[in-house]
Amino acid sequence: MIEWIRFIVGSLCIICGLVIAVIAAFGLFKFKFAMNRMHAAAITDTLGILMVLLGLIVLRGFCFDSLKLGLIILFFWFASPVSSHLLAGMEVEISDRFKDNCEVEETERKGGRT
Amino acid sequence: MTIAEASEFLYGGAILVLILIMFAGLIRAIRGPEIADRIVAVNMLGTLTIMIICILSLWQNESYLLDVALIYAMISFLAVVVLTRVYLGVHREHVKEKSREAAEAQQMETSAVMSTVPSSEDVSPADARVDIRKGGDS
Repeated sequence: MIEWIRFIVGSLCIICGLVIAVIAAFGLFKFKFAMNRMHAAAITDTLGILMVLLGLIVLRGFCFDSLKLGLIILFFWFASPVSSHLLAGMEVEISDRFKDNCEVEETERKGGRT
Repeated sequence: MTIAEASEFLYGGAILVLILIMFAGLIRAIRGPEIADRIVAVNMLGTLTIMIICILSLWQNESYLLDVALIYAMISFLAVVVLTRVYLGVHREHVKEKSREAAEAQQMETSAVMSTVPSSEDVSPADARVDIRKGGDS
C-alpha cells in the first residue's frame, strides 16, 4: 500500500512536469517576440525539470541516484538564469525591432550595460 | 495491475509526450525568424533530452545514464554560452566594419568636395583654372 502511495505521488509530480513542458511548448508558438518566447521556454528549464526529476526522486527512493538527480536540478537552477541573461543581452544588441516590442528607458541603458 | 506494469505505462507515456514536445521545439528552431529564437528552442530541446535520459535511466535501471544526463546538462549550457558569445563577436565585428566603411566613404566624399572647392591659399583659384585649361589644351 505504501508503495502505491509513493508511486502515485511520483507519477503526479512527473505528469505535472509534463503539463508544464506542454505549456512551455505552447508558449513558444503563441508569443511573437523572442523575449516573450524566452520567458516561456525558461519555464521548462526550471519548474518543468524540477517537477519531473522530483517525481523520479520520489519513485527511486533515497540513494545515490537521487543525489545525482538533485545535482542535475541544482545545476539547472544555476545555469538557466545565466543562459537567459546571455540570450537577452544578445537580443538587445542585435535585434532591430527591439524598441518596437519593449519599452526601454534611455537613462537605464546609458548607465547599465557595457 | 502491479506497480511494474503501471510504471511501464508511466515511463512510456512520459517519453512519448516529451518526444512530441521536442518535435514542437524543433519546428520552432527551424522556423524561428531570429537567431535568439533558434537558440531558445535549442536550449529547450536540451532540457527535454535531459528529462528523457533521466526517465530512461530509471526505466532501464541503469544508473550510469544519470552521469550522462549531468554531462549533457553541462554541455547544453556550454553550447548556449558559446553560441551567444560567438554570434555577438561576429555581429560586433560586422558593425565595426560597416561603420568603418561608412566613415571611409564619408571621408572620400568630403575630400572630393574639398578638392573641387578651391580653398588652397598659396595657389589662387584663377591660376589653378588657367593651369587646368592649359593642360586640357596641350
